[in-house]
Amino acid sequence: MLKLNSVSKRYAKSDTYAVNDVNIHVKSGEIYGFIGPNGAGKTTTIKMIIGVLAPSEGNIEVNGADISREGNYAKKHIGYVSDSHTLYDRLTGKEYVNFLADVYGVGQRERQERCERLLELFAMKDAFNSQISTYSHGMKQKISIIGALIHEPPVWVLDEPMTGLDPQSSHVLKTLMREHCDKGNVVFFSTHVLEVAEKLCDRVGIISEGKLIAQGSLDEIQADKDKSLEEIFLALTQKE
Amino acid sequence: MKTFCVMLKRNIKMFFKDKGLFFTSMITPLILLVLYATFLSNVYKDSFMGVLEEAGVTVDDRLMNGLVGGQLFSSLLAVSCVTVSFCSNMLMVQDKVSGARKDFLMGPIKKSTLAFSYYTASAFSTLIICMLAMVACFIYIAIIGWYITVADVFCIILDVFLLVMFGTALSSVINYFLSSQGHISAVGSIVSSCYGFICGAYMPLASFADGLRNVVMFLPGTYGTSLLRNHTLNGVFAEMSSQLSASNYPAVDEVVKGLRDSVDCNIYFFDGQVEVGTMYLVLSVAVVALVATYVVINILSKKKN
Repeated sequence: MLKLNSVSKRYAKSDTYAVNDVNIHVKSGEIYGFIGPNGAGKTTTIKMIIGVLAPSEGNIEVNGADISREGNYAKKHIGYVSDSHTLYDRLTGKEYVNFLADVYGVGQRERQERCERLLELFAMKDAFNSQISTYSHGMKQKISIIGALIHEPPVWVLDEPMTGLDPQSSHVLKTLMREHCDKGNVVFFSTHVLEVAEKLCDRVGIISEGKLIAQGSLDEIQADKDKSLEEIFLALTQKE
Repeated sequence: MKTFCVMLKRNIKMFFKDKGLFFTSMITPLILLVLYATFLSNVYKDSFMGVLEEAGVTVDDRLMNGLVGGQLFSSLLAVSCVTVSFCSNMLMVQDKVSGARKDFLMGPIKKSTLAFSYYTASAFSTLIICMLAMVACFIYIAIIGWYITVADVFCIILDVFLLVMFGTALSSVINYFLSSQGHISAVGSIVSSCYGFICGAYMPLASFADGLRNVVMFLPGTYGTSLLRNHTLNGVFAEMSSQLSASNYPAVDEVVKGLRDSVDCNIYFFDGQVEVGTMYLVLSVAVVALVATYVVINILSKKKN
């Protein structure tokens, strides 16, 4: 469902690769955790997946469509959540979600059903008609998640999605991620919280200095079964 | 098309919801209104009276009010069409600053759709404001002295439409290169304070030095101001001619021509008088050229990325 084929990115005026020959294949039903230290190339990789940056080399397929060539088709199949979404403070939560539903062409009935479910799950019903400027950081993150999922995209790309969420909402999001994958879809998410990755992901990829230095299920990565993901991560990234 | 309509609706909504942006766009017309209400109206009235008395002509108060009011009307609209479009088009820059533009491009929105939606939304918002201002001006003129013919009313609507298209196209090209809050403030201030002068709305071009007048004659906005002047004041001058002719005044044409020259109804490109048809042509060509420039820079930027 989501394939990164030998993807590299070199920014203009830079001799080094921000992302270097990354190959990732996230299969249906998988939650893929993408971890790495700051500046390792996580955000650049995610920006290429969602089509904001074009790869210098290689290609990215979303649901069989090349994001560079069939951008609009591919983007319709992606739901992207970041920890720093641009929300329009002067709009209400409802106006914001309706705007995104309109952009993705979600019908009135479907959007109402999905909205009701997500609002209930994230306890946002009461605030839905209030201006976004009155929301707390966590509420802004929740409305951004609701907006990103309103078109029920098969591929979720989540960049630090738990940032600012209260424990209940984090739990809801993790449950939704698992449910989503159980339906045969895909979740690709980056996190700094290794415990979450350890508990939630079917496979993880560790990126350091632009290179994917380890990839696989936790069992595959944990050659030494006594070590936690954190210990493996620290050992690998420090070695690099 | 559906995405375009969604973006258009969003952009218009964001402009009218952003009170700061909305009121900034109203600053220039408000300044002009205050200037007229406090002293400009009297200055022009005294100046016209002086010229007419010198020529041994007297006209009734209602006609004089129609003349001064028509000048206010045309100045207000000439400035508003451009400054309001600049402010409404600032949304394009604000979206860059806030990161909203990147958000849009993450979704299934083409860059061309986004660019076209900014242009159309800005033109639409500006048209709404300028048409409301125009209606307010018509009401004011009707109270103080109405001499505008039906044909001129339609011409004024056309002038406003063309000037809005011109202002939107010009602001689209300039705003395309802006990318920070500082840029927004700088361009907003420059346009609000300078445009009224260089298009001849605050002070008639006739009062400019020759060199400056020749320079501003290269700017298409000048022709828009003159078009509005012609269509708001044609009726006043026609009535003045008939009143003077009825009183057997010997030099009707000279007096009226002098007044038309002094309020920029007649404008001269170097020494040649520019006809109304030519003014429309200059303004239309400017709109087409600016829209083409906007399209080209968007295509080039797409290729560059």
